[in-house]
Amino acid sequence: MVEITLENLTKYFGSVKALDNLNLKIHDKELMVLLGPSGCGKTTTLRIIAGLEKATSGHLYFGNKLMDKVPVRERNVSMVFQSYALFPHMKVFDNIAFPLVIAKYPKDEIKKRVKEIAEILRIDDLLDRKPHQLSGGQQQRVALGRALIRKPTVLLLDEPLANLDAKLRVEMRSEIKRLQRSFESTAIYVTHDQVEAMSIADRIAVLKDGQLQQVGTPDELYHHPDNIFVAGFIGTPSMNLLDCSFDEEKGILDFGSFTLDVPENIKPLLKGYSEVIVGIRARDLQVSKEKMPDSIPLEVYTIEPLGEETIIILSSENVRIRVVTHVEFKADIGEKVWVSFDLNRMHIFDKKTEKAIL
Amino acid sequence: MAMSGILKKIGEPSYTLLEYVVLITLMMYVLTPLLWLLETSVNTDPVPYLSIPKGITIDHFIAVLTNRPITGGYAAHPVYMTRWIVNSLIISGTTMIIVIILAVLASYSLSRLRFRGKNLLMTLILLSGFMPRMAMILPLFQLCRTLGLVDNLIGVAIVVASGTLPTQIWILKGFFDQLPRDLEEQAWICGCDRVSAVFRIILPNVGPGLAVVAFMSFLSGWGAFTIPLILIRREYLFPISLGIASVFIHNPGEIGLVVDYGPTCALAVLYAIPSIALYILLRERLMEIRLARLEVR
Repeated sequence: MVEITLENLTKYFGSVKALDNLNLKIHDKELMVLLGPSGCGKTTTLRIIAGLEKATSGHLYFGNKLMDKVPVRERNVSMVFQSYALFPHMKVFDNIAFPLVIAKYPKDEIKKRVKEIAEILRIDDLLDRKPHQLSGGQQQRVALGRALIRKPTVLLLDEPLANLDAKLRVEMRSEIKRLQRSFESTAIYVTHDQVEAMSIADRIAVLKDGQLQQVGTPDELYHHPDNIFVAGFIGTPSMNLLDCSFDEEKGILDFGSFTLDVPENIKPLLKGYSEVIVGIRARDLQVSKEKMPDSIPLEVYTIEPLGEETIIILSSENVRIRVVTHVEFKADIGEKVWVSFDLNRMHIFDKKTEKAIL
Repeated sequence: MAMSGILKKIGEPSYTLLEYVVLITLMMYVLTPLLWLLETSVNTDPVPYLSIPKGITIDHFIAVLTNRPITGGYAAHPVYMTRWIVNSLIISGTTMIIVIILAVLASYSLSRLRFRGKNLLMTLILLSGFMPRMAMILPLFQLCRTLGLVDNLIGVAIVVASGTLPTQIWILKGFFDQLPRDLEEQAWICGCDRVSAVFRIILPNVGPGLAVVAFMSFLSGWGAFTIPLILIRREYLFPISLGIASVFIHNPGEIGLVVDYGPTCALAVLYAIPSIALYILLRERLMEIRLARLEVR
């Protein structure tokens, strides 16, 4: 229920820079995912928003209000920890009621609201248990209940699904999304799992080494990655990233073992670049046993059948390419096949700056 | 099956027998004095050696607890036994309270707060725990005299507490360290300030640690001997430890009188009870310690 602004946030732990001049706006009622590999600063960001960590420099605003010096307990944020952090000595009821007890709500009101939220989360039959008597999924729900009962301004979720098994994880992530919508909280969700991020987020902020790489909707990140890191991080299987050089005179991209003609409309964009990286998704490649126009011959390196579709890894000297194909396509390791590139779906990055050219 | 089992037993050298012999020897070593004490305390005709009682009585216990002059006794000095028990309780109780309060404050700070010189402070605390009290007895005595803590039960408790506190701080710090920080941070997020988070979340979850500290600090006051020996002069302010010793030290020989073995042994038995009672009371909590250690991921 508030817009959150991070302004030039920088955080050092000793001499280690955990966050590097982070600027980010999180819209009201939005579910923003902070995505990145471990150690990228996403949890640190979350903890600064919660008030558990102090930024070395920079500012944090909730709406127009500067929050830098507001103590944790006055921020009206809720947080679900990866460990759930349920209070072991309290029953489920008391765990969920805790924020209201501290805020000195009347007893009847507390009872009513705990009941309500327990029903929504389908844990109303567990209220008399202690946390250690619950399964992981149930503990997770209790933690969510405790976070939501106060109708927090900001809901922070730190890898909330990391300790659940795969099936439950998929189930809970749609549940979390639904709850966040109905409670209308501004939510920030930290994860290192890009599939989880894509499926749950309104927008995703990708972080690496404490630096913001790109912010956008899952769609934007998938189709228009700003740089090589985002391109490689988002999407399964990850994007093929191939080193090559651009020959301006001949108008070709030279991959060493093969070359590709550059379409006329792209040529002017590549002017002045020599070393580039071409990115193409495994689904944008076509593989066939016969020669097709504009196709190149490659050798089958390995085959990974996944049921509906098959991932084939092809190789040629220094190049290795992943292709997703229909499961009916059969080939043997070592066999020669032909691959054609959909050049209009190609991404091109400058090798020096790693930024997207196209 | 049964037959082969027996044959096997005969075939092998019997370690079981050996085990029993060792165990019984050990038990005799530990328990004989206790049995002796118990026997003398209920003997109608108590003597200073192990004997088969002619009759059993609880008179000696009643004598101790009511401060009644002992019938047929030979005690030359006034007996303050009831008073000694109260004194011991005052010393140990006060020691326990002082230690718990200070140990909670100190070990929480050492476990959770970041401040300059923390490591040095922790080393100093550890070192002061190793230091024998008697090494410092002169300055301690002078300090107590200046502060009016000589012949003062609270004074004894303060000095005894200072001796056991370093160890207790370290023990309790271990318990605090084991408790995930998430819990406390979650409490803050739920609206607690630091103090209420400690009382509502941290302390209830270090119950076993508090039990250990309570147990050990009570016992350190209960068993104290040298500190009261130096700080307490008046006989009616003696704790039990000093009292029992005094009966043996200045009764016989000095004026040629005999020790009242019955009441003295009864007092000694009573002296042993609180340690055992406290253990039984806290046993479950003490057992949890092992569990708590296992839960660390």
